[in-house]
Amino acid sequence: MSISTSYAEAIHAVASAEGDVARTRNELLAFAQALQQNDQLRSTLANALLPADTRNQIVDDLLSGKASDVTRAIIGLVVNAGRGRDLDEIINEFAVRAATSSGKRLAFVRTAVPLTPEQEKRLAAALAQQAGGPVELQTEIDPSVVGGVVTTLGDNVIDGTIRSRINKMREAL
Amino acid sequence: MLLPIFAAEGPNGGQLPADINEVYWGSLAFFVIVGILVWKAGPAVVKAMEGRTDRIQREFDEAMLARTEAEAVLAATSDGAPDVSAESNRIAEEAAQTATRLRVDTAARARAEAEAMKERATLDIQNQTRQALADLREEISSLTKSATEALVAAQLDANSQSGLIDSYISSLETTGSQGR
Repeated sequence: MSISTSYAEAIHAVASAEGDVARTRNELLAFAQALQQNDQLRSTLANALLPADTRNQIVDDLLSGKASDVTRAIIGLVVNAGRGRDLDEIINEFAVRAATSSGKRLAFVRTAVPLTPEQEKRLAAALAQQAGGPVELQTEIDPSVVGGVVTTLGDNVIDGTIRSRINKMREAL
Repeated sequence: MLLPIFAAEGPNGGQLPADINEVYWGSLAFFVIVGILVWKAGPAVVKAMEGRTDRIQREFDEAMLARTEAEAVLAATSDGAPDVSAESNRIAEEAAQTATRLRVDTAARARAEAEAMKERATLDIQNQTRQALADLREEISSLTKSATEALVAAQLDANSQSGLIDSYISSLETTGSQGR
């Protein structure tokens, strides 16, 4: 069992005990997206040379009034433990675990533009057909994909982005 | 000197002892002792003399042999003296041949090394050319990719983006329904 899995299990246990797994998961995933879009924030939270209080203060300032106390406490715990670098991986593990505990599988979907509700519904249904069970989508807007969609469902990556087609063209060149 | 003899003159007025029988017995004893000595020690003395004679003869023979050998060596040395120049010529000739062979070998080795260096240089040039072409190709493809991405991104409006997503979902739906 990896460190990330251990932390994810612990976070899931805390969120379950607090009785609001879904909200905690959404807030944590939103924070993970913010981390992915902000390298400076990621490196600051991963910087072991910074005092733990300073890092905690940054987390509090960022999430104050925007996330629950449970979410803030969880992020503070991981950052204080010196696992700031693994935070997004831990959050993704937790999200997968949370979805699994509710009988669903979690699919990470990246697009250049937001999906419409209708597209989300169709995509979830299509992925459910592939997975053989209900699938929950975790969407992320990523302009680097240029166009199209890339979906990660467990170990399976279904890449239908313009970027991947351009990469293939580049390899052909 | 004769005084002691005359002084020893016996009572009979002569030089002999007074009792002539002493002369007889003394003489007899003398001859007996001489006979015994000749009889017993004679052969050993003769044998010793013969041994000494043999040893001297042997040493003499050895000396003669050494002399003969020395004369033979001297004769050979004297006879060999004229061959020194021939040997010298032979050595000089061999040296000349060796020098020639070495010169040929060195020249051949130098030619081979020059060929090898030339081959290596050619290979290096080819590799560098290949690497330069690969780098150029990589650079061109990278630029092409960036340009293409920028061009496509500029061309993609909201409808196109939505169309791409719909197309992706449709392909998933088709795959899912075929998999059933």
